[in-house]
Amino acid sequence: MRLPRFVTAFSDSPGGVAGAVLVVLVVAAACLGPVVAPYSPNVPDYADALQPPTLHHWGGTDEFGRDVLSRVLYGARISLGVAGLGVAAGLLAGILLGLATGYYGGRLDDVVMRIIDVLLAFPGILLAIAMVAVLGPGLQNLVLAIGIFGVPGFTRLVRGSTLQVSGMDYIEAVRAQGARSSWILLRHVLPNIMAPLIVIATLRLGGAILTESALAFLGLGAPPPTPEWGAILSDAKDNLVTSPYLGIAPSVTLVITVLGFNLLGDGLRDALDPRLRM
Amino acid sequence: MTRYIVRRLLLMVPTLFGVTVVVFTFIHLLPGDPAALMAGNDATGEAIAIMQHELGLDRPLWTQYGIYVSELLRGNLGVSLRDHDPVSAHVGQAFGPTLVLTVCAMVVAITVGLTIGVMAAVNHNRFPDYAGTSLAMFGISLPSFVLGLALIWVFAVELRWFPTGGYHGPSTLVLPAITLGMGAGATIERIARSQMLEALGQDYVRTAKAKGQRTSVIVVRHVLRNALIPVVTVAGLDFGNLISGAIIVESIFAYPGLGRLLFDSINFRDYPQIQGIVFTFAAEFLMVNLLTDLLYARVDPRIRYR
Amino acid sequence: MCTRWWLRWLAGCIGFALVVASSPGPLSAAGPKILTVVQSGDASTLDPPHEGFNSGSAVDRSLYEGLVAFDVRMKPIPVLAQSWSISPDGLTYTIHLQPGVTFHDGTPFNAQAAKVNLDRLRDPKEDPRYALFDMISQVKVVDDTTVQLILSRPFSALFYNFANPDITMVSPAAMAKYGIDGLATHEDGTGPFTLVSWTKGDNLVVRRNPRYWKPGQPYVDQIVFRDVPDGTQRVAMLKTGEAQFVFPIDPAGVKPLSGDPSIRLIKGPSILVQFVGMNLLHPPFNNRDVRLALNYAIDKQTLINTLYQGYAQEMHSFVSPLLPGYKAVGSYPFDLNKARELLREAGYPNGFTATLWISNVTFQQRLAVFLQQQFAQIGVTLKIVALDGGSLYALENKGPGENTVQMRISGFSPSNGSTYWQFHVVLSKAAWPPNGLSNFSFYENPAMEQALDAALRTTNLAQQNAGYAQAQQMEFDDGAVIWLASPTNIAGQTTNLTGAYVVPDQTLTVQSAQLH
Repeated sequence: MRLPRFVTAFSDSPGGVAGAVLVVLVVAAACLGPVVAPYSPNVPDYADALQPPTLHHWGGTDEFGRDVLSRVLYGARISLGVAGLGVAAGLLAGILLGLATGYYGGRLDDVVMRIIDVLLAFPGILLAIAMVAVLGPGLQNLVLAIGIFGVPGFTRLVRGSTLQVSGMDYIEAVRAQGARSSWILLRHVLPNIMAPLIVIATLRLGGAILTESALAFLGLGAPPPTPEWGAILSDAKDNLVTSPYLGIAPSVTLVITVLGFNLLGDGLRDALDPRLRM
Repeated sequence: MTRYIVRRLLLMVPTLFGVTVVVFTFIHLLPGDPAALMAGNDATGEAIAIMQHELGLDRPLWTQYGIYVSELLRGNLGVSLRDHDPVSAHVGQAFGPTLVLTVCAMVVAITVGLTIGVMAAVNHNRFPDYAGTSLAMFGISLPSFVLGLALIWVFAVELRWFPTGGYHGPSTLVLPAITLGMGAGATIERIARSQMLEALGQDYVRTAKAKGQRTSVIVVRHVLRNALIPVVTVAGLDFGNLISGAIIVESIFAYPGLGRLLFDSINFRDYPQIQGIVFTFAAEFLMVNLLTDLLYARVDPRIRYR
Repeated sequence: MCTRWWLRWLAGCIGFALVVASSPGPLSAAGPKILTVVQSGDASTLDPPHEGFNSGSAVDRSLYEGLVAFDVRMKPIPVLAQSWSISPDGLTYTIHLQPGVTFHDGTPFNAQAAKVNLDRLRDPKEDPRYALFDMISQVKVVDDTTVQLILSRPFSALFYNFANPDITMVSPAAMAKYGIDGLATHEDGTGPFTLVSWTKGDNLVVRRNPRYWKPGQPYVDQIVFRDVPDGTQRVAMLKTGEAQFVFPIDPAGVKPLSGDPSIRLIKGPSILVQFVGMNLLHPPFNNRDVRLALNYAIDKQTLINTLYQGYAQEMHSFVSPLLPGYKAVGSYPFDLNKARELLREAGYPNGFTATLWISNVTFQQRLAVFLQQQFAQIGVTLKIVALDGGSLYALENKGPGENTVQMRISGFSPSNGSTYWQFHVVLSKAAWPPNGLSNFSFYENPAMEQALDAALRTTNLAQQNAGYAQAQQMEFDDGAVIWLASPTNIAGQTTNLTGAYVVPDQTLTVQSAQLH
């Protein structure tokens, strides 16, 4: 099967392996965060406010005396959770839409593709901002905004592959044998596109984490005192002149996380399908 | 070629309509009453009702949308609820700074990206390659607001070389342009490098080298032109991303462009202005994509558009 | 060769960018004495009655004048009204206007012009603040420099209402020429400056009015008002000398400016008081003991240190000490035991859960987190909902049956420096939503309103003060709101500037400043 070949190919790429390690670290931090964190993320300690990093507080303390490192660790679950759910939602929607439009074509295809064109007309984060501004703050709305963000990309990919596969002769043969469409789609189309889908999803995860942090930074994230990385960075910005170190812990963690997903995605792509390489 | 342009422009129209519908729907889903905001904290219910009538907010939604679209076709983006000025005036005023910022960022991105990319490719598998690739990887993963904050702290607060923000004179452009351009620069570096590598591996290059031509000459004369084609495409697509990235960068650097205007409008429930700005962003993005495609066609002689 | 095309394109872009970026704006030095004033906002309109922003008031004061204005202690002083007399029954005001004043368009300011403006200010269609003058039933022109106001009921705080910088005289000729909408972009007042240019969101420039009626004034040739929302940037502009007067300076900006000999920091009390409003129709806030408990649960000193970096003052009354009739009626010292006991007596021994609505402003978010931490100590769990200004206002403004907002971070700074007005807008029955004023607490206290009314009707100062004192005592005993603090205004200026000041209502007066 393909698996052993993929594994060897993947381990050849140092970037990919490094990415995998980083991702595992971050996911571990997210899961184990509450256990490992030295302090509770929300308990104040006014006497110790705005302290630079010390042995007691590796990341320093914010204006309420809360431990920055602990907040960052707790924030990992939120950032990864929101990004993960958002990308998963977009992926699911994209797969469904892509399969349907690619296989059935016709009116459905036209309508859906027009809608996707409209969605794609909004550059980058603009759509997410507009959505969160409308729907209001809150984690569910963030997930929704990130999900919608990813739908066009996934849909196009799945649709393209579906079109390609649907045109093949053996599909005709299977259909002639009386097989149901959904079975055809699942059995024949889906496995062929899994590889690129995984690659794109991984890369999208990195982007989703960036988007989520950006929205939180702009004040469009979950309500306080949720320790989202973007929100912590926004606090750091307000105290930049007096306490610049506040931003170090969340920045480093954020960059490492996104970097990890990007490296992993690149490594996966190189290993699974060198033709996709840029 | 002209037929292609016309066709693309025509295709843009239904998409733009779709954009207005989306924007209109979004805006009117927003809870909040701009009339109340405008009338001020001290105003009574009567005063607010009067204001609502003045602003035309008491008519049915369909009517409001219809009016919006018909005005749009006449080039009228509506009137700001805040100060009764035409939205197009505000957008026009804010558009300049954003455009300048985006162009400067693009310049930064292309200069840095190309240089490092070419350098990395030419020195494949040696130190400059590793350094360049790592830098690019890093650049893609670094959020603009993190970079912006770091730059402000180091160069504006500590070293005092540049102002922390605003828009007056070239010195206020440096930090925002670098912040905005980094991400695009990283993407360009990756493309440039891989294209260069591919091109450098070609037979004719090896022939030229065998004949004794210096690498740099080969690179500039032959390789660059071919390698540039996908770079142009990516650069063009990135320009669109830069436009949206400007929203974040403008807020960090207190830069008076469209991004900041958008935020003020959202907070103030200035419906027509939000519509106008989002519409402008979308239209600009579509235009940039079209221009990129055309540029692509110009640069690559192998492509002919029907 | 075509390979160079991208070089040319690159060069073109760089050149274009540099040219555009370095093009001089209205900021390049023109006349000899230019005062640059930096605020955190812009004006929203050139038509004063429609101005809603504090930052617009500084501009209004340079272009327009009203009958009276506020001095640095927020007391009305004569401007276009040279003197006045009030009839013993408090119903007739005879106002003598300053002679020899012209508008910027050359038309004279006289009683007729004053009447046109006063009528406009009372017109609901033209002035969103018309309610401030609804007690005036008639404006009479007595002669060229005298007007008479006939009131339907006595109102001792009338001149406070007139002192608001947005209540000013606009040239009737301009009103006729431009109409309401046009006035938003065309100014025509009697003020010491005239408008040169306005780049919204960035800067507004005014230049001296050679026909100004006060001899020798204004003292500077130009004022440039800059809109800079970022606190760090405002501090930087002061340090580099780019600006001579900056307000507000965030507490974080005090340290970098303190050592600098060319800069003076001015700290002064504001009339803004900040509090947490509770919806009294919504249990448990209908229970007085609960409200008092919440007041006792807040550590005021830590609040001031953490949220205001020490730049605020504890409240000893619902109104600021600067307002007329202020009386220090008491305070709620930080006492967790007392708070818990009050809650027990109220029937909530284990506390309760409540929701706090805030706007997206950073300060409110921080404050909300702080309140969460404080109330957690007495078993009150606070959930936070953050909304943008518009949505929040819509929710707050719903009527008694539909209003679901439980708690809200609030504050008040009466635009006319009037104690009566603060109580009226925040705590009177007439101000219940949905008619638009700010009593979303749905507080109702007829005795308090009687005391306030009595103060309003009398022209006797001692009686006025007695009435206001009563009202303040009642609010304190009732715990109508949860007191927070009154922020200190921090402004920064260069040492060569005199005559510019921050009015306690957080607006600026810069039109009579001097640069040495």
